[in-house]
Amino acid sequence: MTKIIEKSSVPPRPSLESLEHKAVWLAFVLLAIGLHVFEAALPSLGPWFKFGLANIMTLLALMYLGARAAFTLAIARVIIGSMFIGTLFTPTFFISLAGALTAATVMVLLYKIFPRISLISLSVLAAVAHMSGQFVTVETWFIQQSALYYLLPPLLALSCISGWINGAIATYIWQKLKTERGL
Amino acid sequence: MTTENNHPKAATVSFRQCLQGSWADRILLVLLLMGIGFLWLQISQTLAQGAPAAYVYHGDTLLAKYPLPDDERMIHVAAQGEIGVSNIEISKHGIRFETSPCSTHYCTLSGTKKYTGSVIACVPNHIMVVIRGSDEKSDENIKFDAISE
Repeated sequence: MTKIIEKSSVPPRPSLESLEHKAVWLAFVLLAIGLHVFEAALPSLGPWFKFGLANIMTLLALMYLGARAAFTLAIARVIIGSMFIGTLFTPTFFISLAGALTAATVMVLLYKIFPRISLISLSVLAAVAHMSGQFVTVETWFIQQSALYYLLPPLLALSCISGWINGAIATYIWQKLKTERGL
Repeated sequence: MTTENNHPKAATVSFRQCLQGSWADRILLVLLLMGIGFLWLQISQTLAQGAPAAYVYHGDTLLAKYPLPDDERMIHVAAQGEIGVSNIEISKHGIRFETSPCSTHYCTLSGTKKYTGSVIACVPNHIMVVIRGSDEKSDENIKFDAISE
């Protein structure tokens, strides 16, 4: 009798599918953190510009696991990545978080509205949103001068190019994943 | 588990093919670049009014405005920011951050900027220097702070 009561108080085991979902999400987060830290270690391409390689993992999380996973991945990689590179709760951290969240929001909304949109288009628009989100954050919290936006056009042009390349990489990986896992 | 043979099309996609994108992607890129180019032109026209001058800001406050000298004079501005003093040099060669108390030093690494519309910002210290035409408005409430020539 006692044994039966003990068994019934044990929560049900999570399904294999749920465990796999968590494992894949964790793998994506770890890869995103790795890319975040790797990019921070690279020589800067310019004072305000980074290639945004970690956004590839956000794109893949959106395609593979859904909107919620993409959002949580974007937040987790900025927080944990900032711990590794020593920028947690500095202006860089808040600017990075704002950019990542804006990009993830744009990705999710566009994917919901246009389910057939390509990963390259998603990535380009997310990169533009990322850069714009960062500028709005800087202008709102740090340097309240509209003159800051003089920097925006060349950086947006660079974002389009980096977004295209990241989108192409994500497309390639997504095709491989679809083939390997039969999605 | 499905093998590659069940997905022959997906298996043959190379990275080069992925990089080319679709027609929709290309049209989107062209439209975006055109929009950015138009924005750039608009900003350039706004900035080009009057002789170029360097504007030094701290947050929402204009600390100093100084016309770019056309001789060998060097103007040094010590701008007090959130975390310390940023030393800025203004000369006929343009503007540059000499020193900064920030840890990233993107501002000092930006080097010298001389063209109208150039911006150097030290976000951690909330200091920004811009070169733009001196005919523009927003010259009110200038608070000069430790300028030497």
